[in-house]
Amino acid sequence: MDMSEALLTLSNVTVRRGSSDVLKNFNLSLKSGQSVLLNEKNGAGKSTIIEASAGLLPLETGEVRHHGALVLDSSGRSKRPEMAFGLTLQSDGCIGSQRVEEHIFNALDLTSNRIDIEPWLKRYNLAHRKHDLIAHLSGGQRRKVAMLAGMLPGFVGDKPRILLLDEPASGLDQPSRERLVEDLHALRERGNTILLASHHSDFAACATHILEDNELIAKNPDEHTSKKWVDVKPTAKPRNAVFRTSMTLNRRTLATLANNGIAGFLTLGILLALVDPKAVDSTLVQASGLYLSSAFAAGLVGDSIIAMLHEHRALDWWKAHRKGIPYSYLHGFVLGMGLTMLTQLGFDESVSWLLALIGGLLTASTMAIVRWFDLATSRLARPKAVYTRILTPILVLPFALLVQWITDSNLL
Amino acid sequence: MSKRAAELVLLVGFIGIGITLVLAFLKAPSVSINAFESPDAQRIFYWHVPAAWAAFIAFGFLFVGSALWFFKRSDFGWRMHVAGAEAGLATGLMTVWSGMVWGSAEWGVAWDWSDVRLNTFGLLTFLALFLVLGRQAQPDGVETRDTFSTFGLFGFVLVPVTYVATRLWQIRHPGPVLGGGDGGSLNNEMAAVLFFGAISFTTFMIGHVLMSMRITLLEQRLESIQEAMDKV
Amino acid sequence: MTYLAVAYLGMLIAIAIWTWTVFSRSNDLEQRIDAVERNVEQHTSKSIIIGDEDTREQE
Repeated sequence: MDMSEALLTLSNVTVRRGSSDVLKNFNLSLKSGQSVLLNEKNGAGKSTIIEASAGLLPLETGEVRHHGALVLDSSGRSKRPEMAFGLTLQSDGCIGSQRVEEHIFNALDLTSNRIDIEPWLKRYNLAHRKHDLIAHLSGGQRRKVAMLAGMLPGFVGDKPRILLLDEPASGLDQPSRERLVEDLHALRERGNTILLASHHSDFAACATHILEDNELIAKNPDEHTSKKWVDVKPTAKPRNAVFRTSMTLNRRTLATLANNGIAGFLTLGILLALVDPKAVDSTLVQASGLYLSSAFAAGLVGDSIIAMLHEHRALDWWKAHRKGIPYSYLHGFVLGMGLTMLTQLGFDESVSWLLALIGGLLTASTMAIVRWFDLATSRLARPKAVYTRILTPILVLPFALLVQWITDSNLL
Repeated sequence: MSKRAAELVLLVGFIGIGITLVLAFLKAPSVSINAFESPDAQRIFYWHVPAAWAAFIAFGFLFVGSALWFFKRSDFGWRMHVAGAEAGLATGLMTVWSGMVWGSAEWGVAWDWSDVRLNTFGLLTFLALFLVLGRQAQPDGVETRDTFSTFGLFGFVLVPVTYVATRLWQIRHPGPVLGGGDGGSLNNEMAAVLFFGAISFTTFMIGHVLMSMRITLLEQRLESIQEAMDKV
Repeated sequence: MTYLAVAYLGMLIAIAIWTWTVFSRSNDLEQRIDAVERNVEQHTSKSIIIGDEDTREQE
């Protein structure tokens, strides 16, 4: 097969999970319009193939290519695919505090295009739930949202895309499964490459190949009547999914205020209770340390969005697309500024805008480093049972040096 | 190496550490009263410096082990990483603790947050604590090993920083005893006790590494037997 | 001076406890492995008896 034609290529891929190789020297090359069903028994590496294709799993050997361009190789080189792909993970990959339409729009916005999602929501009986939080849905409904987010990118634009769907139908009722089979026919006919893992035999109907014992077996998809029932013309202008999600999540849950803010306010309260404001000489080292410590404490809490991203493995969904992961830096910055100003006022000082600015940057940068610790350990089997906070003292020394520098350069 | 030999090395090291303490009090000469606030506390130097020395070697094992696992996927390397972290934690805690005792007697404060060397060394010990606790909370597997060996590799950057820290930013902590350029500050008897301490702590640390590597090997063996039984 | 004596003794005891835990972990693991291995032997010998129909019939 000509390499340049292949949309999705896995060459010589070995993936280790736990203490064994779950995929060994695996090869797969799929062209436009091919639809592969993975229906081997559980534990045979279906999810591993899908996640490796999404570039989510570190490779021991080999490489993964989308549209001929490298996405991930065994030396850890990783590139954002030029064409965004559709992804439904085995866990739903959506954040409970997001609304149904928001998650689907995120998937579309990552393709830099939007289509009208209303008919799709109606088709899968979700239209009345459009504005609901995903956390309020039943398991089956949540699965539909995850499935639509993985499938709809295939209807966007003229060029074919890769669609990676891991058990999209688990928990779906029979009518919805039949509709999904129809939609998969339509997606394949648009030229998309589909990699679908499912133990439901229904999906054999729309597959051009079945993967068995690491071999692609070609078959003819069943006869079906193509329905051109939906308008897939672009509608509204797409927006930056990462930025919008960061803003929405923080506004809706007040996570930065509730976590980082509380730590900052508590520190401020303790300082005011212990230190006599009249005894503070603003020319001394202690003063700038005092004014900045609540902003520092707020930053040490880390990025509150990370905890939300651990829900239903949403973090992996964002990671796979390689277009950024939602953050709280801006909220941290504003919070740090506010805390620093408040501390200065609390100690009967006039507000120094420069110090407030430094306070804002301090919270945001401290948050960024703690967030990096959290992200670096997210691959562990139990990402919540890891003691990343033990490493936060690494930040005390830079803080001390910053305070020293502020005093030495007479910024106050 | 057999179990008995590893146990023996660890025990010899431990006894040596005890003897160092006795020598520090009975054999080593008193320092001049004028140079130190608390001359008695100065005797902790015979523990503090060898412990730090052994800790650096242990962190070296940690680094080499991390690299061997990360780049070569060597099981031996992973065991070395685990052993280096545990031995580093033990000797690191001894260094930090003895330093704090000395510091509070000599400087009046146990810890100085603005001193670069104190903080980088403390951080290395915290890193070892993070690695030891973190590993114990996770099932063994390639994800666990990759993640912790990455931290091991990053952490090692701190070792040279810590060593040169006292020269770049000398705030409170004195400069390196060996290779510090000012070699004449130790007389023969002091050097002998210090040397004995260094040998003892290094033996203790190596015994610990050997035992710890053996324990990890046993853990892996147990796990593989249990896995094989699960499949029956 | 009392302060120093406590600090020194504390350290020595701490190292002793630490060393002891290393020894006990090693012994504990060996015992567990022994127990599991004995179990495996029983397992395999049992399954041979069950699997070997000829012997069973003879009995």
